[in-house]
Amino acid sequence: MNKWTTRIMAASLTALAVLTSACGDGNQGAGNNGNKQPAPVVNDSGTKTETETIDPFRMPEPIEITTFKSVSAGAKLNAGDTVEDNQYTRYMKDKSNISFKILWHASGPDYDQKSKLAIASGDLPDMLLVDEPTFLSLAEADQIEDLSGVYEKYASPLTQELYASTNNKALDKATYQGKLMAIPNISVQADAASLLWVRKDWMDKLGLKPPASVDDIATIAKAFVQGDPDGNGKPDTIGLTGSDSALSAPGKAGHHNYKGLFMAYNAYPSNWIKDGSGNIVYGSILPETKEALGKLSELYAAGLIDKEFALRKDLNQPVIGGQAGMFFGPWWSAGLLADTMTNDPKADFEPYLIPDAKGEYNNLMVPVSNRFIVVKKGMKYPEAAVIYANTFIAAQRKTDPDALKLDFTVSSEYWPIGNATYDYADAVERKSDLLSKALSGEIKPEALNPEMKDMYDKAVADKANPKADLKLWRGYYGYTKPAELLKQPMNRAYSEFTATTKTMERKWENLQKLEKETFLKIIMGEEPLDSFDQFVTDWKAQGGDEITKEVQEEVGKLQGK
Amino acid sequence: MNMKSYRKHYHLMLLPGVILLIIFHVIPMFGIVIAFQDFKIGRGIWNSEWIGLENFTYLFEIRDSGTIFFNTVFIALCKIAAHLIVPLVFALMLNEVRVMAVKRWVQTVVYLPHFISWVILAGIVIDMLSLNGVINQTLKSLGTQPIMFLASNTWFPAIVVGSDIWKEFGFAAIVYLAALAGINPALYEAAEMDGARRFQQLLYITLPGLATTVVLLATLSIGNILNAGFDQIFNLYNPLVYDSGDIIDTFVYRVGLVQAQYGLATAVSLLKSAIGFVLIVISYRLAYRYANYRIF
Repeated sequence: MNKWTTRIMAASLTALAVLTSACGDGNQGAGNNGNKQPAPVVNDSGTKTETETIDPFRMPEPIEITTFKSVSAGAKLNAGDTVEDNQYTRYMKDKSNISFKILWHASGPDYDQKSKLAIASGDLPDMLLVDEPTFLSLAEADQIEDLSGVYEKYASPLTQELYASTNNKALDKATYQGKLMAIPNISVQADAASLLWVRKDWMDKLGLKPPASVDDIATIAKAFVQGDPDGNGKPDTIGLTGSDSALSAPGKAGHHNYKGLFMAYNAYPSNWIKDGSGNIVYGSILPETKEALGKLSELYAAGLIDKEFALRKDLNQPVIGGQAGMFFGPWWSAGLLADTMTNDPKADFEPYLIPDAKGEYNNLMVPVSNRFIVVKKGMKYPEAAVIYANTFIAAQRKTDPDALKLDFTVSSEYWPIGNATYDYADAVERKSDLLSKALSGEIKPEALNPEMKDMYDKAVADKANPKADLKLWRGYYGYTKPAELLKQPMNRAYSEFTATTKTMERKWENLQKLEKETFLKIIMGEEPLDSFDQFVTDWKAQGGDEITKEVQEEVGKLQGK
Repeated sequence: MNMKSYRKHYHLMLLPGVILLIIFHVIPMFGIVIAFQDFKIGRGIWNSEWIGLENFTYLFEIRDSGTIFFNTVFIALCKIAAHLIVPLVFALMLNEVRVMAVKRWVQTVVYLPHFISWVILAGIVIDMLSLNGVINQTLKSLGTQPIMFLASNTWFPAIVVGSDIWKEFGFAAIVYLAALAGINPALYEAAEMDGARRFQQLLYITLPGLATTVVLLATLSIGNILNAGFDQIFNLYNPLVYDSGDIIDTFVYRVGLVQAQYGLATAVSLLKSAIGFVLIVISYRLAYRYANYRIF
């Protein structure tokens, strides 16, 4: 008896989740109409402040702002601190007079799901960090505040300088029908490159040469799997890690995805790119992608890729546990390496870029902005968004001396408004140059800005006593060897389209599922490589052609503008 | 005190339930309209475009609809059958245990998993079935190749049904044990006098005594046929086993919440609810006819 009642309850709850979203929306419609009036009021307060002097870093009165927060499950926090009350929220309150009321927080997919529901039901908080499709739909639905005026008035010189470093492309992305509707982030382009991290201590032990091609990856992986590099006498080592989200090459390089390998084949799965004749095409259906998949399935069949990569819930585990010898990851992988070294001090990783068959490096760049701070329509203090951004940037770039007191090993996810970078597009290369010049004595350490001085101090302290304090090591390591790699000449490819079209809304999920399933099955050997051709036919027939046409039109429109 | 004031109390006791029902089940019914809309975030129910049955027709165009429907019914049917048989056999076996302490202990141990959520249990199941898990270690020591159970479409439905039984059979057996306790002991005594052995007693007294309960549970579960267990499958599956494990609820989750196609997801849910409603009515009629079960 109990069994079926619980099941019915579970079923109705599921249905309810969908239905309540709809219901809440009804209220939203009404609320919206009622809210049409306050817009001029905001202008009033705007004109009022004009007579006062403007402080771009501080609200004149303490205010409280509501928001939702995404915090990943493993993000580290200092003892005694909470998501609502930690060094970053306290800093923000001290500096800018803005305190945040976090209505709720969640991690990963839970956050996505919960925030989408809240947005759909019109339950926007005062300020929120969203992705591009959400930003565009909010702007289209007229639910968010026009920030053009407050940006003009409040943006600090550093903030403006950072945006200027993108040729204002970032601000263009946040502009909807001629109005600045959000404060966009600025992605650091170095985040695009996917490096191959290899256990150097294992390579040395087995007498292997560093990888210089995809075939070398196979050779090394084979030695790692068969050569018992950890010396425990058991065949328990993994060549290369992977993840089930590894089969696309999104803008940013993530841990364990195969972006670095796809690039070596000039393949750009799940991105809209320009083909040879300048047409926009979908990367997943191109022959280059098939070739890369073929290689991956070869590696998998030979047992060189983690057999269970698609089933793992914690993908870092094989690396941290000292089982895996290679993984693809970004330049900032030092955190993961430090965790591995905590378990096994002998572990030593070396980064490599894998070139394509012609010996060239390819890289799919990151969209200049992919996160947007939006302000709910009718919120009393829209300028708070700019003041927040100014303060956040000053702290992150450490131009505010007080920011140096912050412990930056605490995840930046704990800043009250989410986790997004605001920096020069080429920040990593810039800083790496400064660091190496300072270390070689070319620049006097005193001449460095506070951010660089801090990094320099860490590097000097670590060099005196290498890797004794991994906190110091991970604080600067990314700007040395990994950053140097990124300075090599690379062929840059760009995602030409990152928003959604009308048919995509309807059919994209289905196509994505088709793609993911087919790719996984090809790699794991459940289907032959040639089922890729069937996939391309199906993809096109099930809406892919239609969507491609729409994307081409949209991109054409943008270029026409 | 007369009859009337008693009734008043009863009605008052009904009130909290009715209020909850109205708030969480009746009012949200209004949201069904978005199944017929091109529902847009932000525009809301009032301003979204009406598209008639387009969501439903699209549903039938999707390549996966057949698979999803088949998986849902198949997994649910297997679960229903297993849920009838396993707890019954277990209850019968437990009933033969004469040492009260052992009986109590066994019963407690087997119904414990019922109280653990699928989030935790799925973690345990995944660990046990992984390449380095207990089961594959055993297989290896027997000289067989390890199997990737959770990546295999052949194994996945079996794992889903099996782990669900593991979680629930002890708890489900309580109903049968209660029914067993309700059988008149005089019947057994009389049978013994007539020379019936244990097995004959089981066959001619115990089983007929349980028949109504079995029929009742079986018919009631028909209404449940489209619920194959969201939390369980959601926590166990991965893209490799969509072919055999994707059910209506997980599909609705992915399309509706992950992909934010609320209109389509509502259409699927509505369709599911409509079919479920018909099935519940049928099963209620059946339960009334064969097991004389009625609510009112």
